[in-house]
Amino acid sequence: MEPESPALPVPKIEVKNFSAFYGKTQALHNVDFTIYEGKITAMIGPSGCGKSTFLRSLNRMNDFFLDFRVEGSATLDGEEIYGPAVNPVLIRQRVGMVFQKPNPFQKSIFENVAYGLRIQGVKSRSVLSDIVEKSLKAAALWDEVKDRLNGSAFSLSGGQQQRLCIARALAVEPEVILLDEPASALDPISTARIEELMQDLKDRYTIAIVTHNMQQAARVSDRTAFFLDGTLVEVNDTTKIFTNPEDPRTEDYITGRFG
Amino acid sequence: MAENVLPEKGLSVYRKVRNALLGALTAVAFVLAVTPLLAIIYVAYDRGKAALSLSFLTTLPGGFPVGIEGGIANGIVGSLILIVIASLLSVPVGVWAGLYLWDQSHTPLAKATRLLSDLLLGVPSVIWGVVGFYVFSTNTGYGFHWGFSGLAAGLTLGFIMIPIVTRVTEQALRDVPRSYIEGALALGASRFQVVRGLAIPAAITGIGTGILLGVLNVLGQTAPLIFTNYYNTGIPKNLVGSNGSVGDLAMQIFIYIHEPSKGLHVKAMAAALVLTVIVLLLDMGIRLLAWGSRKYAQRMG
Amino acid sequence: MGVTLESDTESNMNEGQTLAKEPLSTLSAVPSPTLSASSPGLQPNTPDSTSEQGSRTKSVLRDLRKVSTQRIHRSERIFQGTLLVGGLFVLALFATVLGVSLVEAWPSITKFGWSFLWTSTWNPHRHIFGAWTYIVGTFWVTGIALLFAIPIAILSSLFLSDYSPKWLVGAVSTLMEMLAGIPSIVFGAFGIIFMVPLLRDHVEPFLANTLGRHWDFFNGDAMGYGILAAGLVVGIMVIPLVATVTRDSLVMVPRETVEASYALGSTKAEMVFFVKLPAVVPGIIGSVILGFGRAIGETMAVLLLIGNQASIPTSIQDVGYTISSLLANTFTYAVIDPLYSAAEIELGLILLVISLVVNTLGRELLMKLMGGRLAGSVGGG
Repeated sequence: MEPESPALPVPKIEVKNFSAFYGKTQALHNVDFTIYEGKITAMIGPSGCGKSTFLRSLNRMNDFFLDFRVEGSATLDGEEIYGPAVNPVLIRQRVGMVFQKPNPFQKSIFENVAYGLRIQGVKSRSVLSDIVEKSLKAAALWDEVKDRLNGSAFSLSGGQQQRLCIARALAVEPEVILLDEPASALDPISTARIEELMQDLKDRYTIAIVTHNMQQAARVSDRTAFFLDGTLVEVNDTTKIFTNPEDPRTEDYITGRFG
Repeated sequence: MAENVLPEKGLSVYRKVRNALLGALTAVAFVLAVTPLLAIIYVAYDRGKAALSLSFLTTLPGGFPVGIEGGIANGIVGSLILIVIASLLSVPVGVWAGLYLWDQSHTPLAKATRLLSDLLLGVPSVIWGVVGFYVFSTNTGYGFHWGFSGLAAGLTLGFIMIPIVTRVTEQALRDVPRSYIEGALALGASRFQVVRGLAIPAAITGIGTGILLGVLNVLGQTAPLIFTNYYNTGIPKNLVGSNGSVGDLAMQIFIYIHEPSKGLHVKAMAAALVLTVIVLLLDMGIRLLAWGSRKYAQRMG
Repeated sequence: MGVTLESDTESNMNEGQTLAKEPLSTLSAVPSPTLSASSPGLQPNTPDSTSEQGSRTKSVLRDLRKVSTQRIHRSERIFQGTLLVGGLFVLALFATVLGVSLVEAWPSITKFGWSFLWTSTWNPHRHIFGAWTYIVGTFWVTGIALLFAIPIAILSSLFLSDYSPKWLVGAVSTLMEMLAGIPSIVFGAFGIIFMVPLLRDHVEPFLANTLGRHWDFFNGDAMGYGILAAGLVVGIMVIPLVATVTRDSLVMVPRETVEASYALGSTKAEMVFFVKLPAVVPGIIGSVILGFGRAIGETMAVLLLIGNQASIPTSIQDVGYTISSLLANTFTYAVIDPLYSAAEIELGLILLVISLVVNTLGRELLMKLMGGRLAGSVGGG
């Protein structure tokens, strides 16, 4: 039996010579990085290293800081994310995000998941119910909430709320899902469920996760990138990073010498 | 995922228009909301400028109908007298009550008092007028029998100021950092010493702001005056009893505008401009005071 | 040592700024004699003589301390008692307001009973009094005011919280807040000089010619004065209050909630309308209630503009009377007649009760949202 040759990884987001600034402070220095389709890419590094800034740059959430600007290239399927004619709203429809602290809306569970669809004009109740159910199932939350879809989102536990946020993001059918330390506010069991979830979603979506938990990155991701002081120090297959890193700084971080 | 149920991923024209529309509407609404302020100043100036001059502020009204000649000195002086009387009553009482609420903050009696003090904030001005009438002015019954007088009106305005000063005093004391107070108490200082030497001085700007806020509020009050003082075209020699009324800027505007004389209307608008300017200056003064004290507090850490 | 003094400690401990007496004892300036007696190298006496001497000193000092703490306790108590008087003043003031209103309205309350509320006759000569006309008038003016003010105020508050350019925010907020400080009489005068001619010569004929052709509600003799003039001016006065309080609630929506909406690909309008506004509904209701409370108490502007006729308005161009403007206008004539004045004060009592209830409701709603500080609404002038 021949071993199957692995499919060639397809770049989804490519970042070249990318720098980011808040006013005079430079938060990211000349980052070169590719995020591949259908894979989970983790970004690790000590606090303040710029990994969150980088993640948020990908769906233009940093635009809300008035003095934020970028240099270099960041493309989604070859199109510049920061192109002059690009409407960030469209980017965010294709690149979804889940935040560190679960942030459901003050609405019912159903309406939370349906929100992204409603604003795009979907009105039909049956279509909405359909997609809401699919999304909640994909987020492994359906069984727990199917009887109380009209209940408040705040009646859910922290872990459930986070899965609700994931379902909400999935409902919009993004191509990429960005997760910014999604489990750091959760208990270990909820964390494990979310990690399981990521594996399930991997094939259909491109996933990028920022985490301060190295073990999580090692468990979950295919590729890992190590950031330090706004620079991308090293990026490689996860196994390689954690067993045989090339850069001494990566090794120091992984072995716990700092951070 | 299954069939593409999203209309077309994108930003429809409808959504774009809706977005721009809301932005435009909020700006329009804001302009509408704020225009009256500018309109009032403009109209008052435009219709009243004929009467404006330095002597307008310093001469008493005269002629017939009274006011057609002269100025509004009676109103300015009268208003000042009323504010002084009102403050003399409301500042001690209000600060005292505010101290009580701050010190005994969690006792049920204090909670009840705080509630009542806040309720007093919502009493309509005509009611204050009625109360002032029966307590101070009327010549029969249980009150002071002072007749229509400056003292009666001043004290009634003081009543209005009391809940304002109380509330702001309590808030200002609360803003004094706990560690500051505890440091003193831990050294064996008595409550009285702490209050006198530390808490009040630290809260003094806040309290001062509160007093000015109270003044700002009663400066333009007309209704309570109708019941307790009415009006005087000159400056009285006494504040109680017959001829004890004072003039008042707000009351003056009311009386002048009520008369069908065009000349008086001009004076009324001029007086209205003066009153508005005073109010706006006072308002800005209060803001500067509050801003300044915040800066000071920041430096204190 | 500590034990003794703790038993002296008053259970007069409150939370907040007042602390217990414990600190006094633990940081007492008087050194502990037992400590010095047992400290190494200080008093190499025999244990017996030391402890005897030590315990005598101990008890003398303990007594001294007891005396001084008691003195401190008593002066503290006196001080706190004095403070209480301040609180009592406020209670007395409230009792006075309520008491005077009740006492002076009493003759009317007993004479007319509950029917006072719905009787519309008001005849001082025949001594027949009923509140209905004025209650209706008050609600007409307030209704017009709120109808006009609420949309503008809410949209303005959105401008203040979300749509104004950052560098302008301070200035525009200040502008709005300053509007709130302008006295009612100035608005009234402005109303007479500006609003009345505007309504009389332009707006009211226009209404009569357009909507008035279909609905009699919009017809009438265009006089300028009336519930429309009063309502609009009161509305202008209420806008800053509703806008600033609503703005305060809007500003409190957490950043994460806003970001969640954007991350799902929403426009700013969608975020504001479908996420932010629904999240602050209690705050909006609270601000509207406060605005309502301010509007019903408004006196001077109404007095100058409403036309002061005791009739129940049937069209928007009609004149009318509100409780507050009636009182301000006629009380000085009514005083000579005990029943007349009592009836007017009963009207005032009705207004007072409604104001108190409304203001409490509004505050409670907003306290729940904001906990603590409020840009207090102070009764209109």
